Amino acid sequence: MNSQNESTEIVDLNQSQASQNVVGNGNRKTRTTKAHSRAKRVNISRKRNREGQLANVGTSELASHNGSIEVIDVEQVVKDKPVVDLTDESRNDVYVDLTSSPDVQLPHRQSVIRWQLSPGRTNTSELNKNADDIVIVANGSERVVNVSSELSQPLIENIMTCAICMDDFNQIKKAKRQLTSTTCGHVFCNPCITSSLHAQAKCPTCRKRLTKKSLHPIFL
Amino acid sequence: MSGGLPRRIVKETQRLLAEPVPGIKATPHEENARYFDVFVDGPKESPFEKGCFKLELFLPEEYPMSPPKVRFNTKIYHPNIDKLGRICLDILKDKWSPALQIRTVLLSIQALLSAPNPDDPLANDVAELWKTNEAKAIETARQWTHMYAVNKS
Repeated sequence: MNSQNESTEIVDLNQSQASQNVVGNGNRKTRTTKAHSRAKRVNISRKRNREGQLANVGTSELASHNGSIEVIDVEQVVKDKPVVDLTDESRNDVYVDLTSSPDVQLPHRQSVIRWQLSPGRTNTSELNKNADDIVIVANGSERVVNVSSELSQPLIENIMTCAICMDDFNQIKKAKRQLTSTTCGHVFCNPCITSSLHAQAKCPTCRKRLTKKSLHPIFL
Repeated sequence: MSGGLPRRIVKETQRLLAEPVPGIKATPHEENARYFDVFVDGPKESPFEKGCFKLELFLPEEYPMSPPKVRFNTKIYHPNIDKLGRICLDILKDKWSPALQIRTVLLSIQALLSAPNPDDPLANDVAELWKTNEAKAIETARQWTHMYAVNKS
């Protein structure tokens, strides 16, 4: 802050409300008279500075009406009620980096599928546990997964078929056709759903309206 | 089976023969695997009960992207089936979906026999009678079933 402000007297807290009004008036005046175009993007320190100068102008105007001079420490007022410039775009410091999320689920899911497919990885050294149990050590904590209960649920490979060509998951994989999902969540192989959309722009399973953009590949 | 037959048709045919739908029999022609002879039993508690209706079903070149063509060969008194055996059924026209199959189409036809819909008629005179004098229409349907659909041999 400038030396003008340092030499000013400190007003007591009861007066700070009144002084704020003065600052408000002064501030409004600057915008109309001085830097109208710059007003939107001033940062806090520059604003404080201008308020400091203009508070004096405002008070001298007031003083001429009241007959006495009040000197206000604008710095103090600003400290009590900090000015947050909502129009300042440089303050956009809260953002989420979607690419660096540590909780990406895909690797976890892939590894679960691998455990299901290879029960031979049973930890045999743990004699007190069932042969169907797998001990998973992650982040220092142990978790026991029962393979037989996981296997009793049908695997996606066994239940998934394309409703159009009626090929199952393994046949589609073998033929190197891309599994494709609609936005309504129904899965087909890519050549089938593409030619179906040529014939009619609807989901073959639920008849929801679809375009080519409603399709996306899925990787299992 | 002919060499150029799509795998889906082969699969459907195999499954139809291996796990037939109760009351429905569909067998492909030897010389044309896209052409099926179909027999549908009249549903219980309908005027078509005890009847066995012969239909023909043809899978066009575009199948399954376009619907199969199905027609009654046996005469039937039904508001949604005309003199020529043509069937008024939405899934055989604009409501067709390639996820539907021969099996589901024939099940729908069987359901149509259970639930005639005179508000969407194909045979106008039949539909008219069905709406004005349902008892008489049902009686006529029963007579026609007995005359044309019951195997007397």
